[in-house]
Amino acid sequence: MNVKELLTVIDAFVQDALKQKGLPPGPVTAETMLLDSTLGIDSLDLAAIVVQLSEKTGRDPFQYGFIDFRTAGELAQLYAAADGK
Amino acid sequence: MIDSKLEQSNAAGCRLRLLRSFVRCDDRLITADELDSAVVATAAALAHFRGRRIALLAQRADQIMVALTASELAQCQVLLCRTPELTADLIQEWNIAAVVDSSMAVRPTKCDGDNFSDFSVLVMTSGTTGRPKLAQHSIDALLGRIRPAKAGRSPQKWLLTYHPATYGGLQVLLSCIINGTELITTSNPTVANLCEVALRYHPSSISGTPTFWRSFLLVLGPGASDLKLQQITLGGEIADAHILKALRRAYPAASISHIYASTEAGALFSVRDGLPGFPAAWINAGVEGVQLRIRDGVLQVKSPRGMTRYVVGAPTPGVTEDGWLITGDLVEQAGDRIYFAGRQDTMLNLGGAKVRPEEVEQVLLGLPEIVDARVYGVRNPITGVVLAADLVAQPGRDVASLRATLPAKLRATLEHYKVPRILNFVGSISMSEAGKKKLA
Repeated sequence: MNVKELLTVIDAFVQDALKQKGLPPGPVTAETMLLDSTLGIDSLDLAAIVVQLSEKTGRDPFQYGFIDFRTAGELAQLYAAADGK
Repeated sequence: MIDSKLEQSNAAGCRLRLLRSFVRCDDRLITADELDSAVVATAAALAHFRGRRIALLAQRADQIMVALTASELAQCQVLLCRTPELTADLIQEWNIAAVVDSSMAVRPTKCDGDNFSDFSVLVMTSGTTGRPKLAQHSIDALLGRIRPAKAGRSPQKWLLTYHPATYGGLQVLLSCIINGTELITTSNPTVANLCEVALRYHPSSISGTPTFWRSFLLVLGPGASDLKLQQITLGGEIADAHILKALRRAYPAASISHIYASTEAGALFSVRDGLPGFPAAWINAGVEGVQLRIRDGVLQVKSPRGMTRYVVGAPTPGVTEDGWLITGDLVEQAGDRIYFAGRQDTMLNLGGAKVRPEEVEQVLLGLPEIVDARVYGVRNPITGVVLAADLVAQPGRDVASLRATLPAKLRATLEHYKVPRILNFVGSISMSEAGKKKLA
């Protein structure tokens, strides 16, 4: 999966999380700040998104510890660069 | 039927006698005579190991009944294994003098084995981590809550839903031995197979975990009314109001009780009023010979039916200086009732917020669209743990719309961090051998 495909997947998970919270959909681009108050998801939602991303891709960029990321694009790049499990 | 020499020398003081019991395993009927002959043969082969520790590798309920009875005749200490193999390392570490294999052949090991003198039973703890501990029970402690059936009642017929080598399974087997009754088993105890044998052989009594009962009712559907159950027992997990009510609706004539027991504390007490939890009055007054007290929100007990000890170097479980066993079960009082709130050791830490998965499960189980739920933590690099739920939907419910509406419903009763962020809809909740929900 490349960065662009991963962004689409992240977008779908974010929209799903927003829907679960009863919030309106918010467009996600590479520049979207994931924990920015404008989007509306919290750290637990983001944790769930990361878990589901790892399940879907079979990759775990955080297996050796946390790597800082803030935007959807940065998260997509981490997954694009990570090895399969 | 019992060999006259064995009968004369040993049987007189024995509490276990396999005289009338018989066992169904799938379509096969194992008669009382067959069980009896097996006891004689096994006891003769075990005679050489008197006072020593033997391991039973055979896994079928009838084989375990035979091995228990034969071990008492031969005065061995018997370890009930939950797998058909035991590594050479464990045989050595546990000082096993002989193993009884899956064809009930007795094979000596290279260990001499210590002398343990009395007949006793070693039950493996169902710990989720590390090697199992062996809880030693005397036969008197194991039989402590098993009463002979009342005369004049129609004979009981038990369906075995537990692995027969677990504490819960053992209570069912011993009840069948003591009362000389029929036991219905299946070699592949999935809930679907258990339903099938239940509908074919019509048990009068079933003991199972709440997880088992939820799945059982779900699989049976309207067919539940084809079973005429007299005795329904729940154990091993929290019996909540929803499953107790569902069972009462399905079986209005049955006697329904939930039993509080553990491998370490033994069978403590049963609650028969159809309500979850137990009367707060029992805390001061005790119940069925058991003393109860609450310290730091955790139930502590003194039990006449507890294990003797853990064998082989394992530290004794949490026992206070004044001899109370710390159960690890969190309890809360509401009015004149004590409710079980979860396990001390299943508390999850979600980025600093503490959550008991059982609390979230109870809320989910209270929703009409959910049949069963398992809530657990999934590790992640952001919050340490995030809450996930495996959910079994009521048949006919649209999963997509449930997924959309459930979180809002949960937020109405739970703090936001207690709402599972990952929802998996599944056909059934996987159970451990002990019938409990598997921990993640």
